[in-house]
Amino acid sequence: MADADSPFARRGVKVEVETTEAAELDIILYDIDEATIEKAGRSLANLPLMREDIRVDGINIRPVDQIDVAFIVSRTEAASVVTIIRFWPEAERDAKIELIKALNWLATLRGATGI
Amino acid sequence: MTPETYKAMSERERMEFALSHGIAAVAGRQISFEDNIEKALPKDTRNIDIGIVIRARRWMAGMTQHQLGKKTGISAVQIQRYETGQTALPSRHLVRIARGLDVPLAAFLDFAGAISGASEKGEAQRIERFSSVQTQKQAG
Repeated sequence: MADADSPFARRGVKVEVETTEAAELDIILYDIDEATIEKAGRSLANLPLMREDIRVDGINIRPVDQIDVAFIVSRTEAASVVTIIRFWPEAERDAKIELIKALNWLATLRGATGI
Repeated sequence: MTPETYKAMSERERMEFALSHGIAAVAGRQISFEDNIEKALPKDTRNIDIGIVIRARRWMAGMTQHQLGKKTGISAVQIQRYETGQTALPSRHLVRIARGLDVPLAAFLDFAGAISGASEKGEAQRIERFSSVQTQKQAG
């Protein structure tokens, strides 16, 4: 999915962008158009981590056209994997960040993975 | 889950679903942080890359190697070896260190990736600057 000009493409690292079920449901809930989703996916594929990204307890948030994209980056043997966890309108950012902090996502991660 | 059910949930429930289910979906892709942490790290990550992050995080937590060792059950000498990249870091020890420092594992993956990758040279420089400041402080 990365462009030929992407730093990752130049380094020979394939980048995969995927969405979770919650992210797909957010697309419906907030009526996010395909162009925004495409733009978000391309941005993440070209540069999975940017200094401008907001980071909250291990989760990255990238604003794209008044929509916030919450994601994590991991790595398989074959590729870097960007997993979009949620979308929400930029106007709801502060409330969502507070919620993430309150939920202490690390505890959730431990519970989900059994760590 | 149907869109209707999702819509009927409170925002807190949606976030809980996203975080737990989202991470579980990643685990479903066979990227369990505990089992496959070496695979989750960028291929060209060196021992020293992750060591720099551990040291920076330990300093940020205001802990000595001895204190972190006591908290994790790993000897201070071994922690010093990890921090300086002398010894490869087993995933089970990284999990314990992350818990001891109370930081998510993703912090190590993100930062170590940033150091060894080309995407965020600024982060690496920031950590190096931070390390250098701390070294000067300790020397002084």
